[in-house]
Amino acid sequence: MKEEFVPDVSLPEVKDKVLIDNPKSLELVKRLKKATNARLGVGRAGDRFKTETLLKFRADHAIAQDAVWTEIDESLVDEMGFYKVQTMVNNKEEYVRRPDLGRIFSEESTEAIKRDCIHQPDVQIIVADGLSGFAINANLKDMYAIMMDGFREKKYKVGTPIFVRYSRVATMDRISEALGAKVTIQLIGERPGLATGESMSVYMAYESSPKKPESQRTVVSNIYSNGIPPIEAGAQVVHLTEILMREKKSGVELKI
Amino acid sequence: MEQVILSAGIDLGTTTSQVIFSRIKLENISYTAVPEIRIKEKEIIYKSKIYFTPLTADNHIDIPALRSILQREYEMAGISRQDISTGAVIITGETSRKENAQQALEGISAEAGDFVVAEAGPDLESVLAGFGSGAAAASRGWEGAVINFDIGGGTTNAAVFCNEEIQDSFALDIGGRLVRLDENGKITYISDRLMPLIKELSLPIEIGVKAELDKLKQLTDALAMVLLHICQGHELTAVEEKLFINHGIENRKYKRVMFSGGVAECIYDSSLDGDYVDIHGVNKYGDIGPLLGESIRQMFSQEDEIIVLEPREKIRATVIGAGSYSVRISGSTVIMDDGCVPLKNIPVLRLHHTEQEHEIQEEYKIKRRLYPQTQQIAISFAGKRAPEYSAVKAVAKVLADITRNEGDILLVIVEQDFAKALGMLLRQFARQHHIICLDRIHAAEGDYVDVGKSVSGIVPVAVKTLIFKS
Repeated sequence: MKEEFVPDVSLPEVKDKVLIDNPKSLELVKRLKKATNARLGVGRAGDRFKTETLLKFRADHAIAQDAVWTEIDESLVDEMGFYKVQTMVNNKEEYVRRPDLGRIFSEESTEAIKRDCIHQPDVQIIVADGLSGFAINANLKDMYAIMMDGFREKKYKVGTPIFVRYSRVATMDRISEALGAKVTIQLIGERPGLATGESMSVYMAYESSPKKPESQRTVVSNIYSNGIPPIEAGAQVVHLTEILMREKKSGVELKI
Repeated sequence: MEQVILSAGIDLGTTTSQVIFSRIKLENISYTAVPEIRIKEKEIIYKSKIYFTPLTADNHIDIPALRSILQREYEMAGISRQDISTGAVIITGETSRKENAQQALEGISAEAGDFVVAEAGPDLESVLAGFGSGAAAASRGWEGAVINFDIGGGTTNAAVFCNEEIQDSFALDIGGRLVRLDENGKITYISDRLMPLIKELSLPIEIGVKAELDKLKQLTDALAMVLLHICQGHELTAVEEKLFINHGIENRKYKRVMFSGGVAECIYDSSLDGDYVDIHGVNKYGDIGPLLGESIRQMFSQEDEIIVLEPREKIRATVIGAGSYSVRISGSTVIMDDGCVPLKNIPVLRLHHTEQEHEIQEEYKIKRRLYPQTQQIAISFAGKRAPEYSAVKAVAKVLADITRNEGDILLVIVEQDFAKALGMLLRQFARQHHIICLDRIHAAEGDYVDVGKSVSGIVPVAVKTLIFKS
């Protein structure tokens, strides 16, 4: 009995529906909607949203919130042999409230990294939960696999892969500095919007350092199933790594 | 970041030939380290004179004369062949059915430029004319289709567009020069293809006879009626059906119609009306073109159901289509080896089943036999949106394996965005080959592709559906 089920308003395809009453051309509204993720052609009830639009909006907002509060599936990084550390942040609430603490490590943690991880790597890979646990869960595995195959092919010395809990982007500078890495690559969950909670970014820098400005970083963003496919992003990161190694610079200094 | 490429379009028609040059501006719209190259602007920077297509006494294309036209026009435009990165030479209308068309294409390649692709075939001409006239762009703003009739000297090429996508194309033996007159109004030529229709209408139109205006008008009215009937979805008579070249059409109705080609110059110009009271007024070009234009204008303006759209280009629609729309660009993340290009006329081997390794092996084995072992081919398949790494790796392994004993270049074209990943794997598994792996390009079974040098990381590709198919 189908009537027993409530439709799942969180599904992306719910947004494809045209809600305008009696559109002059349904076909043209659909065409227009395909051009953007914005909520076009939703009609109205008086001067408010229709119930369906409001529910979809709330569902998308809920996905964004869940993405922020979801912990990454640590069995994933365990299986891949990642070394695990944590920033100065103690829990998710503090992570959201204190961005400054999400960028630094305690002295003990820094010492542990120095003690346990490979020094002077050509390539240092870091995975950070960032603002979306969903992003790492969805994209890490395939992207990591193609990157590793690519680096092996290039015969780069790859450092100990590190997972950082409660991490902001800047942790890559601290780790790079501690280990003396050439190219540091950080995969991090993006701040979710209302389109998806699964989008991941990659930040890369040559001799990444807290003494350098943010403009040292080269970025690949919007990595998820409906954006840049994870394996294509991985191949592009391998390609960019070659350029960074050759040019010995990154970010805005690098003209690509 | 902006980059400019120059494109040439050369149209050798039944009656006229012309050259245009366009400047295509490419722009990287990405803010990140993954480029996203878009065509920002296409601008026609030079239009040649419209020449009569040089023909020899025995009705062949006069290749030396053609060469000197091209040399002169390139010189006048101040463009050397090295500057041209893309473009197309298209041999159209009845000319493409002349036996030396292939020789002509080869004969002018030295003048035209390295990656100016050679194309011919009535269906392809229809599509290019529809892009050049603006019918494709116009179809975006309406529900339903826009049909473009490009009416030249020898043929009418029709293309149907819906939301800028080509839906159908066909060609007919309807043209302005299928009957020709001398300065005294005496008939000097009648195309064989019109004879059944002339017979059916029992018209006294014969070579050597002085033409009567109303009789010629009856003929052009009958030709215009065929176009109208196509738009109205009417059944065509057996004689009318015979006017189709290669294949007929499905019965559909078309509400929005656009005309281009030389005859269209007379369709949209109602100021010509007064000129047609006698045969001398009509006989401006020594043919029935102006009269055909008038018939079409009269017949279509009487129909309230049909909207006639104004084209952006008329007589230049095909050449502009050839110069600006014949080449597509690949996705922005690909694997390219510029040392291997240009590659021309590479047949496409399309794989329909790429889920299982043994399926790929079997399908490839069967289809590969169609081409000599030494022949360069392009392997094309759709692929999944955001495919899994293990699946792509498996495909790469099989492709490397099955092409092990083939030539130097492994050329793979996919539709979804994963060519850089696939190409990277192919480089690992097929070390003896140069790898070219491109995405965002649809190439179907039986197509031919030309691949040019990369520009800002993207690769120009011409996908040709028909080459001298008749």
